[in-house]
Amino acid sequence: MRITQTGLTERIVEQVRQRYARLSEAQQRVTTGRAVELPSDNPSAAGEILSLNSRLARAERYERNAQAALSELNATESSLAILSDLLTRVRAAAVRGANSATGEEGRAALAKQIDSEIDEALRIANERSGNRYLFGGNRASSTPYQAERDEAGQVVGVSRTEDEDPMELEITVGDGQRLETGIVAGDLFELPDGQNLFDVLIKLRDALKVNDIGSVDTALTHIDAALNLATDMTSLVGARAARAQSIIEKLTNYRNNTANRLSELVDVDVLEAVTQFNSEQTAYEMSLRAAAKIIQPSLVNFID
Amino acid sequence: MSSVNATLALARRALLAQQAAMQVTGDNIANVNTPGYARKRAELRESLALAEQPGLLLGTGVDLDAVRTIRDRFVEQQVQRSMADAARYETAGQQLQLLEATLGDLGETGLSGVLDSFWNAWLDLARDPASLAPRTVLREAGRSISQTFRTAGQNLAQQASQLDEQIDYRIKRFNVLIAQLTQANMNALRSGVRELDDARARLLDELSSLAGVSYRMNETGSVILMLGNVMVVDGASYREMERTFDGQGANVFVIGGNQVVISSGEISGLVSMREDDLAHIRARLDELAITFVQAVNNIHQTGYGLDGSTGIYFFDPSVTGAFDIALSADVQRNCRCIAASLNGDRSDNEIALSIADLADAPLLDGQRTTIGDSLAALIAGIGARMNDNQMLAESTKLSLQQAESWRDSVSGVSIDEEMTNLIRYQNAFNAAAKLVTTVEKMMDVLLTIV
Repeated sequence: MRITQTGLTERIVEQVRQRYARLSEAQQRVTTGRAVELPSDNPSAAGEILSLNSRLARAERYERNAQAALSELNATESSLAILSDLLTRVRAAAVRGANSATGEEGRAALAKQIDSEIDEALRIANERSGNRYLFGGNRASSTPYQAERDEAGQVVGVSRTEDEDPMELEITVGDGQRLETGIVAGDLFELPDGQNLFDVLIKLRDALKVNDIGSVDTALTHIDAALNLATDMTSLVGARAARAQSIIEKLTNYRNNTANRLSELVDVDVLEAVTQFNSEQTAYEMSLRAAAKIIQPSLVNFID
Repeated sequence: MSSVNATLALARRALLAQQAAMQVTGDNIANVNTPGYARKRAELRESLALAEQPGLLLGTGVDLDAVRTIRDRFVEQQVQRSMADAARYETAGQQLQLLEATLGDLGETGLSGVLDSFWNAWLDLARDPASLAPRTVLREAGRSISQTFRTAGQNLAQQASQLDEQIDYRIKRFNVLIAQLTQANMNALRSGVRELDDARARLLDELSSLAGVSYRMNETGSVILMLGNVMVVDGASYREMERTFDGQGANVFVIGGNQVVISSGEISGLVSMREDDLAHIRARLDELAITFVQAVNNIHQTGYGLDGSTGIYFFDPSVTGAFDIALSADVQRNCRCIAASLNGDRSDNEIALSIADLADAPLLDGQRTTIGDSLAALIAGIGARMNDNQMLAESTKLSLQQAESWRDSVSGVSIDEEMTNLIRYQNAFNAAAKLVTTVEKMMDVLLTIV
């Protein structure tokens, strides 16, 4: 085969150009630290990277949601504990009031205690959490219960504010997976026997005032029902909080795993990249050196 | 009988022939770096011998018979075919690179990442549905996804119109080149050149890169140029290529009333990008954008904003594709009307949750693919397409390089060779000059006799 100067030069230029392009690629990998910058760098990984990125961002949101739900559930739990304490106190007062040994004066004092417990119960029912009412469910921008007071400021009746029953507020904590962030007031203060806890308390207070021991006894059974309900709700909220907690743990794990997988796909193995860069650099220098030696001489150099 | 004068004439012819051969060598050396130049060879031939008497032939020296261009037609055609293939994939590769620049961002600022941020902003609103702050963030996320869709759509539209310009430009160039080829045919006919000269070879190279033409020489030495099985140049006449469109807006190329199919060369690379890749991607992106806007709007308009407004669209519902997606005027003006609540109470988050759920909703391809998945498939598809094309581009380039080095080994100028020839012809010239001085001495001797 005839080899000509022009052909040889062109081939050398092309080869040096290719070497230089590979050197530049290797350099880019080292500087950016990324193995996949554009889809064409690794098309099969590109789709996975996009979907992992999506899922990672999504999981971060789910985790934040679960955390928000958990803090709401914790607030609900402590309110429930306060309510249980209140009911226990009320029950003790009612038992004392039903005892014939307690005199008229004693009952009047108990009636006063119950009156203040009614206000406290109302405060719990209408407890705020940020810009919403803790037990308001999905209608939490108005107070769940409204009190009606006489001129002395005593509560004489308590009624639901909303015409429609609010639903429990939910939040998404996984693909197609929702978690209730609390409970609604109605589930806590409307007793299973159709009574409203506030009405029970008001009746108890009024019965103590007028020395009506029979009505105090009736109230006692309702208060037991209310205590049971509060215990049920506490365990329900506790279960939900535990679920939120386990979801958070799972999501944290999931995020770590996904981030690892993503890093495997996207990030460069630094040792490998640097080694490759060095070998490309050597190859480039060698091809330049060879080119410089080859291009120079022709017969012209040897003719006088 | 021979005469001294005859010997002198022989020496003169030898001097002229060697000098002409040296000029050819000089021409080769001068053109060593000229693209498309094929080396020439001086063909020397023994002059006609005179028969002095029967059985006695005395040579009369040497003549320059012809200056031949060294060119192998088979190799030439191989080079031109390879050029057409390489040009096709290289042109497509450049266009794919533009496509990848528009849609290939795999990070948070890419279309897919911005879409994720948009869905997640709804989840943030669901956590705090009665506040203004997540709504301002959400409006920004809405602006950002609109802007990203729009930029992508506009870039693709721009690329499509640039592709059209480039196709037009190349067709014009094709028509200019075939006119020049026809002219070169006539020049060759006039000057009696029977073989392919450098001028026509260069034109054929460029025509091959453009549209993958084929050619043959007719008996008068004119080039007959074909595109597919349609004749473009027939010796001294040519027919221009025209670009028209069929009912679907696809390119149709016509030469002299005949439809031609261009299957290689730059034009075919551009056409395949315009008709296949770009058209599909634009259609898909528009479908995605419209589905996205409708899905969000459908849910959003059933909800209530912070200001109690309802029936509000989040995005402008008059969207026709990715390039004109925008927030609705209501949301643009006042982000309080962004709806999170289904029952009208400010603390309800049902609408926000439902819109965030759209991220996993199979809305496309007959309820099978989510918007995010089909976007990811689209983007990864461009990468795969680029890789395929790159492989083809590399292999066609390699075979072009091989064909070119083959051509170079046939037609290229070798300095070493030319220098050797130079010395050879110089020696011959010197020897012929010596012959002249010898004859001159013989004359002197003869003259002194007188």
